[in-house]
Amino acid sequence: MTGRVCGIYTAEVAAQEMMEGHECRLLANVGIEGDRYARRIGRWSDRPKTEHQISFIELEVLHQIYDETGVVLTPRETRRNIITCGVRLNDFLGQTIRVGKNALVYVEKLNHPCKYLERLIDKQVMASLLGRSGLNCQVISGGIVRLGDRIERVL
Amino acid sequence: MAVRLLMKVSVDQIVDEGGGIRSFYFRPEDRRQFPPVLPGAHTLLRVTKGMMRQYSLCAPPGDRRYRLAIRLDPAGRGGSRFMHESAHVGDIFYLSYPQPDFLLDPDRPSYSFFAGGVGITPMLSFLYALQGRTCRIRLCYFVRADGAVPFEQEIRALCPQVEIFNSAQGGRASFEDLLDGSRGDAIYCCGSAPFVAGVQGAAESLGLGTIQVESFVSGVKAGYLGEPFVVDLPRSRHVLDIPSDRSMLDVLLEDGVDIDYACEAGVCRSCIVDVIEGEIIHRDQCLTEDERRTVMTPCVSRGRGRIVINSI
Ligand code: FES
Repeated sequence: MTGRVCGIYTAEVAAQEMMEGHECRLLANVGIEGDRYARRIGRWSDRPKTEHQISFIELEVLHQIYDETGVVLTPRETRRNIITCGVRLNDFLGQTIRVGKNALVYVEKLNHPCKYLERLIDKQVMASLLGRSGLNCQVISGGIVRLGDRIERVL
Repeated sequence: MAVRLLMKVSVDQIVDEGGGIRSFYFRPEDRRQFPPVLPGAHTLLRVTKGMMRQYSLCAPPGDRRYRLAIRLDPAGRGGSRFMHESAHVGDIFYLSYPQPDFLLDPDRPSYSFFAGGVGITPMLSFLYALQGRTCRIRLCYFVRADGAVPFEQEIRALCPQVEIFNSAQGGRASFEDLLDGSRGDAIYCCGSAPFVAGVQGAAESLGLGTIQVESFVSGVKAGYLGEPFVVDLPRSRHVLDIPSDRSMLDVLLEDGVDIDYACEAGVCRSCIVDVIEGEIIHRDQCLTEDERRTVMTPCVSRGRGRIVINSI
């Protein structure tokens, strides 16, 4: 199963509006260069956990939420780093995936939606994200990730 | 409720307004323009990590920047000191989207504005919004200034009939006497908590009904004391004792929780956390009864016995 990277987002500090990019650099066991978690000033950085190094969500989920509830949740508002298309992310739990040419990422946890996001963006999305809120992952080996890059399981 | 995201900004200009107040003009760093501001709205300024402060937005309408007026409070908690001593043009900060809590009803025939000190700033944005309108405006501005009265020129240009009471020059007036002349007006008041309480008390004793108020905390935060209680944080597997002489927010911060806060007085909504279990003694002034069933503001509110918190 192969997907594509269709959005790249980072933020410098907790609660900052995400900034959109064309590419980013993944740093092994750190996160995304310049992102709040790599800089250790994210919302959860006082309790550093490898699962916060990089996060993913499917673009298709955002479309489904719109179809089901009428709520427009934009990729930027999800506060996830990588927006994907063409792949079922939940199937990757517990596996290692390759993003772009070199970067390897271990899928540690299914993301659990939180009230914190609802308060930040002032949209009721927690309930509709349940079970499809994306992935929290650890960067196993670094590399550049660009828009359009492939995402696939490492066999 | 409003979007509370932070925007990356830089200091564009700093203007000394007198009376220990400086205007900081910010421009956006990673967006073309700022979201529009409703008159009276405030923003949260991220001074440093964990230090958020609330300020009214008061730029003139044609100015696309955001302006915050910050009074140096040497006895305060350090936010204003940092901005006055360490912030320079070009420095990067983060500002929240505008928070529309103190809003002007734009269709009233007459208004009375009561401002105490730096509480003049939301009134400035009201005056700009009412420019060119055919309504009666009264502005009573209480200030203590040895030199120039902050914003005097700007105010006089917008509201020549302003009544300024400068206590440094013996200027005084009774709130009752002033408010007696404001019957029938839409009344707005902003200033320190005691100033606002004074105006509110006078309005009540005259039977003027509800007036719109916004207050800010000055000096060192008030101690919100009470019974000791226990906070359980299952997500991080921490259990914290909150002693009777400390706020829950203090203890959370000391434990290393990365929690936002600004007013430390239960008014700004920054520090809200989710409560899963337990009885809360709510002391905030910002949550609705409905919200109080599931959230609390740990800066002022306390628990009874043991409470369980979800979001941190
Ligand atoms: S810090 Fe403002 S409500 Fe708690």
